[in-house]
Order: sequence, then C-alpha cells, then structure tokens
Amino acid sequence: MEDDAASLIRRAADGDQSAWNTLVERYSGLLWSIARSYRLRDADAADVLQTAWMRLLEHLNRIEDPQRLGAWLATVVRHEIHRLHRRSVRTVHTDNEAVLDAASTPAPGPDVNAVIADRDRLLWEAFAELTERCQRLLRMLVTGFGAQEALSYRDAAVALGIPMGSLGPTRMRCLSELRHAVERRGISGEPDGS
Amino acid sequence: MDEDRDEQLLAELSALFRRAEPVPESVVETAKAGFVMHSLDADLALLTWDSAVDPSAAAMRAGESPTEPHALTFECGDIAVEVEVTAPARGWRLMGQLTPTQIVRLELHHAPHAAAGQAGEVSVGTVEVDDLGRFAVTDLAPGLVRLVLHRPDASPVATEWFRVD
Repeated sequence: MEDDAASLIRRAADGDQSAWNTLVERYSGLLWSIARSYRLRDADAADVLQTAWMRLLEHLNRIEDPQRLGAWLATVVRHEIHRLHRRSVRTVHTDNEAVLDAASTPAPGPDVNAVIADRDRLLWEAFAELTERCQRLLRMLVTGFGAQEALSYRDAAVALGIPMGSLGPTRMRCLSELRHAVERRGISGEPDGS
Repeated sequence: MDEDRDEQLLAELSALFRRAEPVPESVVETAKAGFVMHSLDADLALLTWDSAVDPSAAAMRAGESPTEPHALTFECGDIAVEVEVTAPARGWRLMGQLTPTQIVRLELHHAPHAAAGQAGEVSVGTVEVDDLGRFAVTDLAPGLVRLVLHRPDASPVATEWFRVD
C-alpha cells in the first residue's frame, strides 16, 4: 500500500482513520516546532495545531498539491499564529515578521533540565543565542531532518513567508552563527555518541 | 567539508528538538480523535470576507478594542452566511444572517480549545432561525465553531471552522 501524502489524503477523504493517523504522526512534529519557534505557550501551540488539523479535515477533498502538504499545513499554522497576534496586540495590525518578533512575548523556554546531556544543553544555549529569525529558519529546516516530513527549501520559504532566493544565503549565515556559538562554548566537533 | 559539518550540526539540532520539545501526546491524540468527531459529509462554505483581515477595516480598527464585532462571511454557491462575533460580559455571542432564508435547519458545532482538555470533543446544537434568516447564539465558550445548514433534497452546507475567542 502506498504511503505518500497523496495516497494518505485520498484514503483519509474516503474515511480511513489509519491513513489520517499516519498524516497526524508524520506532520505533528513539524507543526509543533513551528508553533514553538514563534514562542507560543504550550496551550496556544496546542490550539493552533488543533485548528490546523480541523482545517485539513474540512479541505481534504480540495488539496491541490498533496506532495506539498507540509507547506500547506505550515502556512495554516502561520496564519493562525498571525491571527493570534492580531487578536492580542491592540494597536498593531501587520503581517510584517519583524514587527511580530518585537511584539511577541517569549514563552518560557523549554525545560532545559529535561535536556540531560551536557552537550545537548550547550547546543541549546548556543541555539538560543541566535536571532529569532535564525532560530525560526533553522527550526523550519531541521524538523523531520532526514525523514519524509522535512520541508523542501521551496516549502520552507513559503512557510516562513520569505522569498525563496533569500533562504539559501540566510541559512548559510545562521548556520555559521550557530557554529561560532557552539565553538565559543567549547563543544567539540565530534558528537559524543549520545 | 563545511557542508558535512553543516549537515551534522543540523542533524544534531533536529535530534535535540525532538528530545527537548517533543509534541505532547495529548496534541497528537486530539488530532487523531478529531477525524471521527469533525468529519462531515457537507459542501464547504468558504470564508469570503473577514473584517479582521480586510485592509480598509484594519485601517479603521487601529486602536479599537478587540471586542469590536468581528464580522465574517461564508459562501457556497447561492448560500451565504454572515456572522458577527462579539464578547459581552458573559460568554461569546454570534449573531448572523442566512441567505437565502429557506434553510430547514441550522446547527452550531462547537469544539472547545485544545487546552480545555476535552480532546476532540464537539458539541452540536440546533439554532433557531427567524423568517428573515436571522439567528443568535449566546454564552459560547471560547473555541472553534462552524455552522451547518441542512436543506431538503440537498447535501448539508458547512461553513469553515472559525475561532470564537
């Protein structure tokens, strides 16, 4: 039985719960990571994901490009987050990313104590040094890394709301910054196997 | 060589996110449960106007309280549903208008916020519609809502889910 997005969507539209479950398992990580990258609290992130899945369900028969489902879902998530911001920010009406960055109140960071290995914690701290935009971009690029649900460059650019042409150079810059932040913390180039 | 290091760094970052910020199980279960709770064999009335995103409305609304009526229009063929969402002191209120007016039965489907802890549950209630196609719903808890119109000899029409909060 085929496992690609088009087949899963078709089967889910026909009422196949297991196909739907596979879609949920495949893309939840990506959507959660995007929501967290906008500094949403867990409760708000859960709401945003709930809305995205309900939106997919009502549009199951209307998905034009099933192979780009990840980008479709990521765009729905982003619109929901913007809607949340519009609702809570009284005098600012904009979809401008820079303004949203300034207006958002950071959610409490992840429980770093839950990240046990020293190397993990240092990598997380290095990551946290990056600008909001770099953090968001890298999250979008790494979620599902190597797995089927990772976003292509094209889809990541759409999901981030930036021109595709700027994605490559920005990625290089952000990775370079991350590498420097990692080196400053004395994390060795070799993973410790954990 | 730089590219290999980049790939390795990205892989580590990916693994780190999975460890440090996994998707809560409840979020995954709610999404799965929604398949049964929210599936509906109906034509979709799409959102064709939203006062919150309309550019002219945005210019006017700068500085206004967010409890100003939020107006939405949904359309499917010759059917239109106009809704205003307001937040008086107790609970949210919907007021609306159906066109054409000869709809047999109007239902409100309500899904509470995920954080309310009722994974995937949706409540369904019938809404009275007067001769002019007008209706009102009061005391709504925050969450996601859709209106479903039932007609004789035709499939139901459901508006897209919209947030009341």
